[in-house]
Amino acid sequence: MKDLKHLIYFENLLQDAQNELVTKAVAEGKHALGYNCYYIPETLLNLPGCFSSRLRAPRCVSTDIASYYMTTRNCPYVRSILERAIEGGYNYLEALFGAESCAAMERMEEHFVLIHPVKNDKFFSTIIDPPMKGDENNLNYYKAQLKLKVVDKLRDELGVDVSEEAMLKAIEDHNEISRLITEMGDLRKLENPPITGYEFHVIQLVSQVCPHYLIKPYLEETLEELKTREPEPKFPFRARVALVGSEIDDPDFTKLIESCGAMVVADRYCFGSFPGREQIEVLPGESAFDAICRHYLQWNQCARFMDGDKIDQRHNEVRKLVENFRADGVIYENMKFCEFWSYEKVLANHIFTNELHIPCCTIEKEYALGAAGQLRTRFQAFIESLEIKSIQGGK
Amino acid sequence: MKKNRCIACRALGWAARALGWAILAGVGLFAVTFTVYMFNLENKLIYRYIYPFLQKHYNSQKRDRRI
Amino acid sequence: MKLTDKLIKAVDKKLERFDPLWQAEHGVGGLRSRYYDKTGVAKYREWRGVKDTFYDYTQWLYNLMSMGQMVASAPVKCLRGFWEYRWMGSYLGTFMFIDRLFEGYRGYELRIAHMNMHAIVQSLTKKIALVLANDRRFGGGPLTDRMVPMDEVLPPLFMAGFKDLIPIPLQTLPEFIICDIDQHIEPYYIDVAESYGLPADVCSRCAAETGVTIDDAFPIIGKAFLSTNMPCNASESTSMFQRRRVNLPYQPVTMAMIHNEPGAHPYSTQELKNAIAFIEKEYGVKYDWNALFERAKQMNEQNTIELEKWDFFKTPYSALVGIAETLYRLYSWASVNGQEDYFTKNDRKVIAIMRKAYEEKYKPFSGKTRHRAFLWGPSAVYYTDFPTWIQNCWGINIVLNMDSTMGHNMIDTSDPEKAMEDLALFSEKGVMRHHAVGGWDNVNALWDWAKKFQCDMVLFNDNVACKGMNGVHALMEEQARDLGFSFIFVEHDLEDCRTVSRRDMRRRVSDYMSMVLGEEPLDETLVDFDDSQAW
Repeated sequence: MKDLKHLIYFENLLQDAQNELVTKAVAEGKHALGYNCYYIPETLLNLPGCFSSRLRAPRCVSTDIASYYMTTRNCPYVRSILERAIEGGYNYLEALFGAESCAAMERMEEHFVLIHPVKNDKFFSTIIDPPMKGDENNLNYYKAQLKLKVVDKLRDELGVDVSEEAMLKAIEDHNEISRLITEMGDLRKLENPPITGYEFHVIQLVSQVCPHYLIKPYLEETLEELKTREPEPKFPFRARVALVGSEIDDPDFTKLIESCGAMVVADRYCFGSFPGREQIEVLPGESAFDAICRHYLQWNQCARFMDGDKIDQRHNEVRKLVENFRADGVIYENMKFCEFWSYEKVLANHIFTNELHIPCCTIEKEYALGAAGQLRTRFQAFIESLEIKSIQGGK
Repeated sequence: MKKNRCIACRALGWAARALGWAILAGVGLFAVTFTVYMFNLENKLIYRYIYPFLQKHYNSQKRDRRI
Repeated sequence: MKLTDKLIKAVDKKLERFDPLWQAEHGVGGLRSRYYDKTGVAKYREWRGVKDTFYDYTQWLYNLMSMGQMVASAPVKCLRGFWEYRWMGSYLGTFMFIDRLFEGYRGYELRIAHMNMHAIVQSLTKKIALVLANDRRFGGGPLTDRMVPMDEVLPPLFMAGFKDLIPIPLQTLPEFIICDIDQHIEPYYIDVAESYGLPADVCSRCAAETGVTIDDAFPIIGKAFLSTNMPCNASESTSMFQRRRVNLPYQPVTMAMIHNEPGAHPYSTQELKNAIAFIEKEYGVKYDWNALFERAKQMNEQNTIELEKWDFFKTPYSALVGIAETLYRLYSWASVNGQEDYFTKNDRKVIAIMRKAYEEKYKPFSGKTRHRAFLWGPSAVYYTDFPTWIQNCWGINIVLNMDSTMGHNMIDTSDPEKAMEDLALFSEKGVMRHHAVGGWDNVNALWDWAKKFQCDMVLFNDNVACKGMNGVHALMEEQARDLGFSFIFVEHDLEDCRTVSRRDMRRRVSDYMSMVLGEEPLDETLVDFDDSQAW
């Protein structure tokens, strides 16, 4: 396929948390608001005058100082983020909105207050207590937490307009970005898609780490380009897989899978588009803020949810993705030392393999893409098994 | 009166004998249990024989393992 | 002095050379001398002098009777339980466990230790008999459908309003208690979980729970299951597996994680109310507030006494020390939670002895304590006698354990709404939660506690798989340095003795004591020994 016009530009934007578009937005007086987790609605951080910045630590090769604070026995994603903060990589941030999504995440976010790694006089941070069920009591708690620790803070600390109109504007922005990404992502449903999993991963990531108003023109242009892009004459992969897991923010991981012969057709992980790029609908009689909270709780498929409905939902959603994107199998990833995904992958592997009869491969990885050789072997073996299954007519 | 006294004497004798047996049994019981206690006999028995026997049994069990 | 006292004193003098404390003091042996190498099996029991040995013997008998009663109450099912459940076999280690815990204890501290321990033994044996007698696996019983299996770390006091139901902390028998008694039991279950793909770096307690689930080793009881998000992440995840295996209507009771904020309590209150509504629906029963208030009064009295105990802990004259304090509080709070009168009565007796000991200016361990330590963080359950060892070897008295500070607020006993709010606060601060979860301020509270209890030392239980506590490692170390506390990270793997052995834990402390503080041990035989094959 012909190279995408902006792909290299997008790749460059992913080399640093403070990329050129972030720097530009800050220079224009926009409030840079960091977050780590889907539990913090990106939409709220894109209220007029603000932009969201989902924290990554690209090219982080050593976490020595963060490991001093949090030990080497902790999640490499959170250590990398802390390390990058200590290195000064997030000094553009005016706030970090954290969530006690897991103990490691919460401790890392606390360090943003306790050791002051962000050298920005305006910087402040809050941590919400996110819900673990999808029922009414948990929705009310979620709303109360987001109001107290995000919306009110934005208004009081930064003077951000949090009115109904401003919220509706933020939803509009979210829906527009989501429409662009979804349209691009849906191309992966085609038998011979004009986009690879790697390219889509890059595009999805830039939409999360760049100010929306600055990245949108590039995304629009890329979508138009994709509509007319000629795919390879023959589907160049041996299999199609859905990738499921936690904080996968390194497109090279997707590239690794694809280099082994399987196209990543669906991205259900924390930095992926499922969930994340669904349209927010404001129901009659509902405030924009309530709609945002309801939407994010409803779509959230974090492995920490405990109620039966949410547990089943996250497996059903993956099953649907497998069907809609015609995946031959599922790869479940968990970050080393991640309690939630360690358990989830055991359960999911059982459900997919033994109950849904969808081939499933589980792997554990570091944040920075190390031990690629081992992973490559695992993926090759899995893809081979998918191929054999396909040759045998799915038996 | 004499007959009654004899019955009382006999009853007293039985009671004394019963008490004697009870004391003897108590002392015996104490001697046995205190010996078991002091020489840690119950733990030695469990550690050397009962526990290993049970482990062997548990290891041979077929359990309904599943998620 | 009475004649008997004189006689006892003479005998004690005659036999003092058999007393391991005397031996240690005179360099001719010590507490470890009477053991067969590696096994943890003693050749003979500890000679503590006539009075204390006799007291220890009577308590041994007393516990033996409780166990006899357990078997006698449901002989067939108890025996079937032994045959069916691997964890039941480990309960045979109870006597050795008790001996280990109270080594070196004398006088008042021995009396209180045994009173507390017997409270646990009598309660636990009844619970085992009750559960086995009604286990569906063995044909069930009249109470099977009146039992409510609950997650062990969900405080069951709020269930007291269901006076005809019996809350059973599901994991208590196969995991929560037995791991204290036999260090080799949970590795089996951990291996089962890991054989299904669970990584070895998750919390071993939760891995063990998952192994029990997969291995089909839970008793089968009840009509609906209450799980919880307490205390932490891995524990939450285990519920996914239990939900499937228990296969009953299921409700997770998710208490606020960041629980020190006003917004948390209304949420948690509603969670408890929803749990009550769920049980009402599933069991077809009505909640009785008066029944709750009755038990809450018991819990309030226990907590009132507990607060008084704390006042004694602050002095050198507390007769309740070390593991006798920790284990009792943990069991009486987490498993009994105000539901058994025995514990209130026991508390009354214990506090009376503590008052007496204080008046007499009685110093436990013959006044050999050199350091007063606060034990912070979840402890290694496979080394329950660690506080005993550290006192006997280095003279470090563990004055209070973090978990003993759990839910000690009073529960309203007249207004249902207020009672629920109090219960929410009470439950939020459950096992491993009050200070290990909920934000930095909760952890950092350690120093205030340590100061308040006149401690010069902090022992930080460093569960290698606890992501939350790992996340504050350097901050704690820096705080200790700034505030001038002697501070030891005691690495352990909670329920997996293979990762960090008891010996490794001891070495960590001994290295610090000898190299950093330059101190000599009280008992040379305890500094380094192998108990890898002990229960």
